[in-house]
Amino acid sequence: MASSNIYRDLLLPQRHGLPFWTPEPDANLPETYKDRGISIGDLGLLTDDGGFDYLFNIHAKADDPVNQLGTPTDFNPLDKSDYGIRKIESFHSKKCCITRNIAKAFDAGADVYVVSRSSS
Amino acid sequence: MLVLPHGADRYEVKAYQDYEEYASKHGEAWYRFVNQTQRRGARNNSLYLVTGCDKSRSWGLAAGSQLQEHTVEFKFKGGSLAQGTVGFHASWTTVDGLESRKYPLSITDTTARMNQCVFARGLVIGINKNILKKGTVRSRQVGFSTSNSFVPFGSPPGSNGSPASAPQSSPSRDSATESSSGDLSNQKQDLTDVGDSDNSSSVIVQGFPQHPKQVSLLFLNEVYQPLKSASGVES
Repeated sequence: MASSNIYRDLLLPQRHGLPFWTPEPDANLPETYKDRGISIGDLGLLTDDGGFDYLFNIHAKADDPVNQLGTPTDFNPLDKSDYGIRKIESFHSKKCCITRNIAKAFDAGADVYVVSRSSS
Repeated sequence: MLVLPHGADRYEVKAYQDYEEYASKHGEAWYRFVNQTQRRGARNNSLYLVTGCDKSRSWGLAAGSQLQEHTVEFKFKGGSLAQGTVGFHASWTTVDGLESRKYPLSITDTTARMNQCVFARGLVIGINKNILKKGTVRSRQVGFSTSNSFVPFGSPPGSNGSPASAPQSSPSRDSATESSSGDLSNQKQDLTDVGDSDNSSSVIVQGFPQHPKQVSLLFLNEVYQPLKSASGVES
């Protein structure tokens, strides 16, 4: 089993969402997209290497820079207001460690994490 | 495991049903666009609409299939947060059978952008040509580890580079229920018939992982009753 699949199956039960093995935006995408990365309204394809293959954003207009890779004909963006999105800053706190099956996970000082766990 | 040296912010849409409706309405056109216009050879149920995400500026992650107990060490050194850019040095101890990734890649890389998506919540969009009628059906579970043999809209079967599933096999649809799919079992789904009477295909939109629901901490199902004197008494 690929590590990306193991990673997904380990972290899914933590109920934070679908964990990406590749959280970074596609390095070949336009800068305007890479500045923000995967965001709400993004339509894409889930890849078997644990990533997201971006197509277009349903909130941006067809001529928006983040949609320069193309949109379907008759594309009509979905309206969105800034208040339509709930934002929680530092939902995951600094230096947090999200894992499963751990015997112990601790900050050993000097920014060293030590995680012991039994078999996966 | 996932380590977030600088933490992560969470974003979640509120009008979730807007996204469900929008995806149901356009799902078929999207598959047509992806496979006919963009020639991606996309597999059914590989199309994903993001409705929530956790964004960070740095991360380290690791997973492996080793059998014995082991210890993983992850070290990082952060730069100045105050200056907006963050120099970051991360290293994993190497353990046999453990694969790891990190961002940024080296201490010379600086990052101030919260553009790393460590978790996403969203809608899996699929096409079901077996559904002949409108209405609500019990849908099967959505799995990610198994491929789905149904390729909508004329994508060549077994084409290379297909997302979401390697074309190594064509298991039955039932085998897709084996993977860990959280709370999707026996979930009722609304189907929108997007075709005319000749076209029996339907768009299936399913939240994955399940959208966080509002909860009530009260055990009494009391309905709020306004006081009768609230209207018609004054003046």
